[in-house]
Amino acid sequence: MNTEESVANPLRELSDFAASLSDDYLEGQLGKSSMNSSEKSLIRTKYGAMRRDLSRIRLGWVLYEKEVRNDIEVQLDRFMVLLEKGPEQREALVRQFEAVIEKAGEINCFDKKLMDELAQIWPIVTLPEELPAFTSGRLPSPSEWPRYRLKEIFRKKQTECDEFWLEVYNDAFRLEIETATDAIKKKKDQLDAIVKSIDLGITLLTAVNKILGLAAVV
Amino acid sequence: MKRAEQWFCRRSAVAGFLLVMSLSGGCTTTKQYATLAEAGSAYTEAVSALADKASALEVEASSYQLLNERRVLSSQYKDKALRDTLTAHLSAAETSDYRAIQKNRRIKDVAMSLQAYFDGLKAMATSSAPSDIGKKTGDLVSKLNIALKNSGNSIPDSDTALVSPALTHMTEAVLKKELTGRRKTILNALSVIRQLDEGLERTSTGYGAEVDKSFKFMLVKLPFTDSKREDLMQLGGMELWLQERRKVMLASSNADEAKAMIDASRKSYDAFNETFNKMTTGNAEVSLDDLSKTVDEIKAFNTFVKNL
Repeated sequence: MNTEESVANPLRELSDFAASLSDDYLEGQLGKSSMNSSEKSLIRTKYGAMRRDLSRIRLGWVLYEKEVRNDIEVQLDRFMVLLEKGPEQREALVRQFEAVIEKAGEINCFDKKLMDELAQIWPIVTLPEELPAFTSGRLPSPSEWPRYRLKEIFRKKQTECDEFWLEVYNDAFRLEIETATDAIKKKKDQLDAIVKSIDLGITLLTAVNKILGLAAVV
Repeated sequence: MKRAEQWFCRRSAVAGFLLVMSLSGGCTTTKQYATLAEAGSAYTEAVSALADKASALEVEASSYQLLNERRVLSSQYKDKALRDTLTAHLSAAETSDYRAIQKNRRIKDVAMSLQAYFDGLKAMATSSAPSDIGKKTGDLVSKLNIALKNSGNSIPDSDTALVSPALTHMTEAVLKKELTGRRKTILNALSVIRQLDEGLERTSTGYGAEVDKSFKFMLVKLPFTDSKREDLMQLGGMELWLQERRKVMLASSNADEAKAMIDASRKSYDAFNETFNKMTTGNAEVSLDDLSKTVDEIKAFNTFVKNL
């Protein structure tokens, strides 16, 4: 289930991303900008904070991959198997759910594979009434089976990641993209202005030629 | 016009012609830039539609959660204690949903900011200005020619035809400079949007599945297995139940829709990304047919999301 490529992907993407946002890149962008010095200084500060965050995440990912990830994956896989079992595995399933809740809290939100897996598991556990282990027997109590706990964990982690990327976009790219959009509009206006100038030129030329008596131009 | 001026005029025209011909070979056309911009705009628009869809699914899922909690809590609490607990649950769900909607709106806002860029690019590439310039400058040169002929001189006729491609090429050069100059920024911004898009896909998968399961359980299974539900023996109740079961058995599920949405979204992003890379690195030429296919795929995805 756990391929080398799928594990390496999040780290590689983050590393590539961090590497592409170099100090030179920032200074290049600021150099082209018409912002005043205090605005540029604020961007540099925010940019520095963002790069520190990225470095922390990269380091965190290395540690996570080495020491945490594998165990989470094992517990989730074990749980997925038990979810298919009948009443004979009832107690094992309840115990495993407790372990999964604990391990789900350790999932790194940048871990696409495990976040995808979590997104598939949490809707299943919200309805223990539908699980084969409980259909013909006693339902677990709310304390044994907090049916919405995994949903809460998923929601919290997904929000954490979304907020991170929203900040990255707003701090690093929004200004550049908006400036670019304005610049394109201006370039289009300039082209339109050239057309207008030529119109005017033709009108003037026609008028001048009339004065000079060159009727053929008219 | 003096002889020296005529000679200069002809030499300039020939040099201009050669320049245009050399630049035109293998160049990306304004139409290709317009098509690429259209693909970028369609993808970012699709992300923004997906953000709305994710919000709708989250709210629907939380409504089922509330109903389910009400069902479970009703067996544990009574009267005022039950009312207080349910009120607290409703309030917590409203706060949580509101935050999710706000976050998804911010994601939509990010997608729309990049969409505005691609729309601007498309507007410039499809602007009538270059052809207008060509036509009007051509008119001007024709009129000058007549005037010059009348005074015994003329510009070679072929010069007028050079004006239009030269000016079109000028626009292509502006577009190429714009895209290659901002290549890094656009790719990074798209990469961030892709991360947010993946979050929306994941969210839609989870909430879509919860809505499907809850609908089936609460509106079909529970009424049917509850022997005290006498309304199922009456015409109105029976019709309603049949209708709900039909939805479960025959209609496409939210989970299926989410899966199709994810597949299409990934495909359209990959197609756009690949085309953008080819066009801005100069490593490979992209035909207009390839571009049109990319746009068609993305537009199909866009229509699909909007119709959900």
